[in-house]
Amino acid sequence: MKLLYFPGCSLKNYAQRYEKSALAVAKRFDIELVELKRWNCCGVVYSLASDSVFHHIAAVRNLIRAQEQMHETGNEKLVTLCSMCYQVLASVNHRLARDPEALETLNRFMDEEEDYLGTIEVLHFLQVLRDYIGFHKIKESLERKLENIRVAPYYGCMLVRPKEVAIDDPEDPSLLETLIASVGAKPIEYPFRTDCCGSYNVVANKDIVKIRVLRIIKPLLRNSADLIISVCPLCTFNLEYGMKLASRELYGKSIPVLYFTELLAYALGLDYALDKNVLATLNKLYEGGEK
Amino acid sequence: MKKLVTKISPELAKKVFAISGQNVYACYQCGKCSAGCPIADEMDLLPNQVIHMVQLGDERVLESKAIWLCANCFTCTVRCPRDINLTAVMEALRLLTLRKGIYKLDLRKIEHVEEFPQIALIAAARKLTG
Repeated sequence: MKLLYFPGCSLKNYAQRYEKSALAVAKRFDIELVELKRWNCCGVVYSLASDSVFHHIAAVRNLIRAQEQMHETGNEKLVTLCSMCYQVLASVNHRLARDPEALETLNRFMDEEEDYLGTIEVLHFLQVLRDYIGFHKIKESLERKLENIRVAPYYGCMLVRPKEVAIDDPEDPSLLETLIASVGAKPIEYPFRTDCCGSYNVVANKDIVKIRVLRIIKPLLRNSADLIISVCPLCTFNLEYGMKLASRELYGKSIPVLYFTELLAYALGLDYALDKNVLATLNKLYEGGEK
Repeated sequence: MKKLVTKISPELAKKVFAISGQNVYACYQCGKCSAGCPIADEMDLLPNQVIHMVQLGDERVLESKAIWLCANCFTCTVRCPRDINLTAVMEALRLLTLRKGIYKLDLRKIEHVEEFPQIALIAAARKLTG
């Protein structure tokens, strides 16, 4: 099966690990993620002004690129990995499906592009795992059963809120727990798995990120979490950055933050797709757990 | 906030409605938004106070830090029993300043700009500048 894939800026720079491991996992299950030939920034944050469509232009351009290329995959689906890209593209799509006037305005603005028809379906890779691969299939394909590894699922905001584009229950999601259990590891319960990491406050008010991360991490240290798995490049950055800022309050302790695709790639034996340091961290935990 | 508002005006609520489509008068001040807000502890006004000031037409809300600290996590929005998108109200209040060309972040003065991934920089620029 082929699915169109929108990477976004982080996946090509800061979060290359995320892309590499996700592509390998998809390939393992015979899904080819076909990168859009042309794409641009999604806009990162969805504009909430209902009196303007100006800030949706970047997202719509990407949706049109997907429309232009969908003959290659034979379907109208567009997969994202970054949860911020997912939320922006899905929210713009959601609005345009209900606001024909906004769609018309945006189409009139496009010069070289064809009109956007509003039919692209934006998916997050977690939905691909759930709906096109299936967690049972993952379970059957394990090369390593990650027993005794204690994994904290961290959803952040963008995949579970707002309701209109949420891929799981906003108050009680279970996708990551199911994923963790399907690789044989132990999902850790804690109260802040869908709490905000502080987001872009890291640029202008980094103390906010420090306070948020302290709140999220403390119960995980108490619960002896071995790993945190994240779905978002900005959450990953903030969790790591926040733990550094709060290292005194955390008594110098920290917990490795991995993308969920890295845990999965490791369990499936796709070591070639893993960053050296990530592989070392996972090997240590896996071998430690075997004793 | 020094003085109490003595005259209630719907002008601010009208502006917020025009930008966000949100009717702040639907709010009955239950406080669920403030209870769930992950950043409320750091705000000078709680989210329900922000909306209350808009209900009263108290323009001093535009000077608050709270509206700029809101990180658009949508926790208040998914929990509001009156279905108000408070995240969009916060955005409308920011836009009332940003659309005048007054920005809250000077991109040239970000400390250690090289430390941050583009996802953080662009998001901040989108929310804190025009």
